[in-house]
Amino acid sequence: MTTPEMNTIVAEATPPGRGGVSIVRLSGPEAISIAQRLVRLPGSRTVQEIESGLLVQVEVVSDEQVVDAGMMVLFRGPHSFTGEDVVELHLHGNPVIVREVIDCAVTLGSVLPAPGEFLRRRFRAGKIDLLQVEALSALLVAEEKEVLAVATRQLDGNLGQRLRDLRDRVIQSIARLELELDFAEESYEFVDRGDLAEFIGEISGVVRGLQRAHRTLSEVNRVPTVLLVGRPNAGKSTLFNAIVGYDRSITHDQAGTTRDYISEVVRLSGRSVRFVDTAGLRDADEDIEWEGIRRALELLESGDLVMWLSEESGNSKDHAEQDADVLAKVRARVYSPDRILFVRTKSDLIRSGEGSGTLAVSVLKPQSLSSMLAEIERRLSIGARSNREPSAVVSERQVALLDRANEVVDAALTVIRPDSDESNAESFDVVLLSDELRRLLPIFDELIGDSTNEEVLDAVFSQFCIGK
Amino acid sequence: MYMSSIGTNRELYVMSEKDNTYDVVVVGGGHAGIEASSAAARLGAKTALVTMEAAQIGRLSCNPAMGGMGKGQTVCEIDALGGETAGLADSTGIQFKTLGKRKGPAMWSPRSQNDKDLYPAEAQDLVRNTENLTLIEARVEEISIYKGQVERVVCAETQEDGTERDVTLRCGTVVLCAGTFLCGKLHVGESSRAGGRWEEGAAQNLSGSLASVGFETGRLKTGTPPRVAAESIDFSSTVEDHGDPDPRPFSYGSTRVENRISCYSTETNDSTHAIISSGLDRSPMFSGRILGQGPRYCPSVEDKVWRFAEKESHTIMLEPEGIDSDSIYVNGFSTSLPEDLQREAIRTIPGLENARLLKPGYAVEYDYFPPHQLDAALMSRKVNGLFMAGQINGTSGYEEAAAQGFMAGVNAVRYLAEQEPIILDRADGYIGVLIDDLSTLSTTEPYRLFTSRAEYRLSLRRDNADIRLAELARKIGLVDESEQERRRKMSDGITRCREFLQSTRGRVREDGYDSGARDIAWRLLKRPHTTLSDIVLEPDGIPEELQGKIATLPGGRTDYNGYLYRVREQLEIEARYEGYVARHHGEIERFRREESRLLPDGIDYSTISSISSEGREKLSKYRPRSLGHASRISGVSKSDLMVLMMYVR
Repeated sequence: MTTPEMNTIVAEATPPGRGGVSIVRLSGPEAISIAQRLVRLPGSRTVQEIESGLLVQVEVVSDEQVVDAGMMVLFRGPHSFTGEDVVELHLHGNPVIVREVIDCAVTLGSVLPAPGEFLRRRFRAGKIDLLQVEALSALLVAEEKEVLAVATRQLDGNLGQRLRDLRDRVIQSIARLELELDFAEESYEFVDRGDLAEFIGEISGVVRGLQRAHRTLSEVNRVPTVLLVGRPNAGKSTLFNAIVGYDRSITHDQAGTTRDYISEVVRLSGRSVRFVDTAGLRDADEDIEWEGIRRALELLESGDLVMWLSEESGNSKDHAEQDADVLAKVRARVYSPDRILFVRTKSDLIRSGEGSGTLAVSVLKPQSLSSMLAEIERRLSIGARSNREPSAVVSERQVALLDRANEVVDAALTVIRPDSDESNAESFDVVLLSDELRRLLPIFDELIGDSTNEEVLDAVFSQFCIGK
Repeated sequence: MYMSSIGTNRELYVMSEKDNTYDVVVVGGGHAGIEASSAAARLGAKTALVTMEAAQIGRLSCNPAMGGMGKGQTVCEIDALGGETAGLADSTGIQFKTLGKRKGPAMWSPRSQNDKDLYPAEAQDLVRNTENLTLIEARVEEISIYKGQVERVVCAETQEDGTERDVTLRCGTVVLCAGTFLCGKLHVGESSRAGGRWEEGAAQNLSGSLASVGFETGRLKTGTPPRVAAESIDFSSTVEDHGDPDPRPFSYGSTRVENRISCYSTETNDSTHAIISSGLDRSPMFSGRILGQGPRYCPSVEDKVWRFAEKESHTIMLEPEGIDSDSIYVNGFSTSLPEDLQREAIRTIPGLENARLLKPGYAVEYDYFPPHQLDAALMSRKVNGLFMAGQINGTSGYEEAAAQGFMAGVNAVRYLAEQEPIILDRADGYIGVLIDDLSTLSTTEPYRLFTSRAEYRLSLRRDNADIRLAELARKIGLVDESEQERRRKMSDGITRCREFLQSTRGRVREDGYDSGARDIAWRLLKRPHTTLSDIVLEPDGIPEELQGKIATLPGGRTDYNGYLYRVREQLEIEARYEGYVARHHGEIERFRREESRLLPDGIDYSTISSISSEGREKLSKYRPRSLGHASRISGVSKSDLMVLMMYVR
């Protein structure tokens, strides 16, 4: 049995690599004594004498050799990030120095932490609940600013507080129901039946609200995909490069250059959109190209928008017929006509007035590009999406618990109203209701992280990096 | 004989002709002592029951009633295991009620009013007529211990000339059931005197003798309301309660009980509360004279007025203390106020305007032994062969005492016979909940059973206690073969009827709650408000052998312990609770898995450094027997448990 709290951990708190300053952080019961052997303080003071939160100059030594000159801050537990004694060493931003200092700290008895270990200690110290940890996790990976905003708000622990309040009220309701059960001789009615039904309805509302937030969140966090599709040499890669802004795809006049697909995320009006440049669709001879075509056809089914590209120029009858063939294949995969946007490329090569009805685009005409992008935004309803702000960030772990809570709440409502048409609130089985309400408590506790088993915590914290 | 074949290591006196040598000496003749001595003697042990006054054996010191929420189920469990309390309650009962009727079948809790003279008379009869049981009237002064094992009980016996002489009983085990008599002190208002009960003395030396060998003692307090003369009460301004129209016995062996008296309810009001408040400084509870903690759950009326200040009135039940008794127990008015204030306050209550107090309410304060010093068999961890049961373990209530007494009596004999003790767990019954709670709670106030203390109460019902505990009863050996056979038959009948209902269609009668509904009969039965009598079975497929059982199931509620009634009742409840009980089965399995992960006896927690300091202190104090047990001790954290888990692996 390792009891992680007993160790002193050491890790780099700043991102690895060269930079202005690198910070190495020690946390644990031995942090001060290890630091004492790791640094030299001016005036032969000891680390123990240093005031909390004060930045002091130190020399970092290893084997009597000065490794670096830097700064040190000591935060004494419990008033520190982890609730333990924490020592931060601010070093010159050189990975060699950092490695030397960490190695030395390890020699002196500290250990390297598991991912997220600093945060986990903070959680253990009760300074943060699991919902806040998960909000932080969401914040670090958020793609969209709406999610960032919600995650940041949730960092303050409000959601946990709300759920804790709700749990406390569930406990009160149970206590009152139990009084009613165990003091049958006293003819008190401890819980008003109407209030009870309303309260369970309220829980249901909160649970469903969070489930809804999760759905919204996954929708907002989902990056829509736009596929560039067309016959070989229809100008897909040229347009792709223009949208993405640099030469990512190899463009070449020879048909069939893009054999696999290539994708890039682009911000359109503050929203991420993934553009995918696909292999030209035709009956290919080469196996490798055929593979690209197969993948392109597969992508068609999941793409949010398919841009069908055809050249303005050189539209020989031969090409037109081939286009029609391939287009039929595409249509068969896309199902909804709304999801296809017809674009004529290389419009600089044609005379004006030709080809009305579809968008005409030329990479040489910025105006045509931006009106095409506007049309893409319209088709993807990007404006409408950005209004859909989730009310909370809800992790997959939480959703699984919320589903369980929802099931219990439904069961509780069934106990209270055995028959929806002829509700007989007077005679419902109080024991069964109490039983259902009791089942809610561990779910709430797990949501907040007040009683969560170690494997779950491992899963949550391992999403963070080592020094976090 | 059974006992003659028992172990060789322990000294036994079963067939001994020697005077004053016993296998089991039970100290105290209250509800614990009666069960303990009767169980031990009936199991074949040579047993002595030592009591200060034989005429007080089985007294109902407080209310003239048995049972109630959680407690009634406990009485049924004692009966199911082969104890006596249920039978005594039935034969001396004068009014019967099932409490919690509107709260669902798991709550149905039997309660009886009992005749205060009849109950002790029957109990004394029982004790005097039990083979192997000797009654000794004396006061126990000392329990002497030799090499960590009880050896002798030293008593003071009053002789005809009034002088006392010492009597020494040699013994293999002692079951201590001294109730409120250890350094008992009675309080009425500002006056107090030594005594364990009204007009009785106290045992001043026994707890000291045990404390001197290292037992931890504590002080508790309990109270009782005044008794009022019936002829001074105007019952016309109260509400009469006749008891249940179809009274039901506790015991699965009793056939019929009847209501012979009525109780009357009334309530307190503003003036009552004003008088009580004015006297708070004269109540020993409030002036701090009583050091012991009082029960939160059965609070004194001054407590209620103080704590529930927002409540305008409290229910008062006027309960006759017997058929021919003029004494009325004023339930809900437990108090230690001075007598003049009690009288004044009680006379503000409708019906009691001219009440004459026969006996004032009083509080009693007494020594108890915090029960973490016992193991799950109720034997002391410190002294082999010393068992403790009842109020000295910090509980309140006749039922809780009787349950402990029974288990201690059984386990004392099993200890002598070197058999595994019988231990009920929390999923077996209320008795298991009670004894387990004692081993984890630091009872700083008297402990009372509640249904809410039982996690698996949906299964721990009065209707199924005999079948639920049949296997344990068989192991104990106090239930005779014909009764065991009856239980087997009934259990079998229930199973077969259930299977039949699960495979037969039916419809709800025209006058039923969901009239006309058709479904599998078992599913119809799951609907709320639907009973077997509401269901018409579509009779084509009733097998002949079941005809007699099933076809007549929907019948009159005449005989509560009759086969058909019991089968029908169980089917209805089982159908309704099926889903919940199934869920509990899963929980019970997990619970028992944790209970079976045993912790070795002699763990030195001070050497396990990674346990929190609070956890270490609690673990050393309560010495849990298993990981599951450890998890119920407050102060033992999850990470402490993980350390333990690794430690025992």
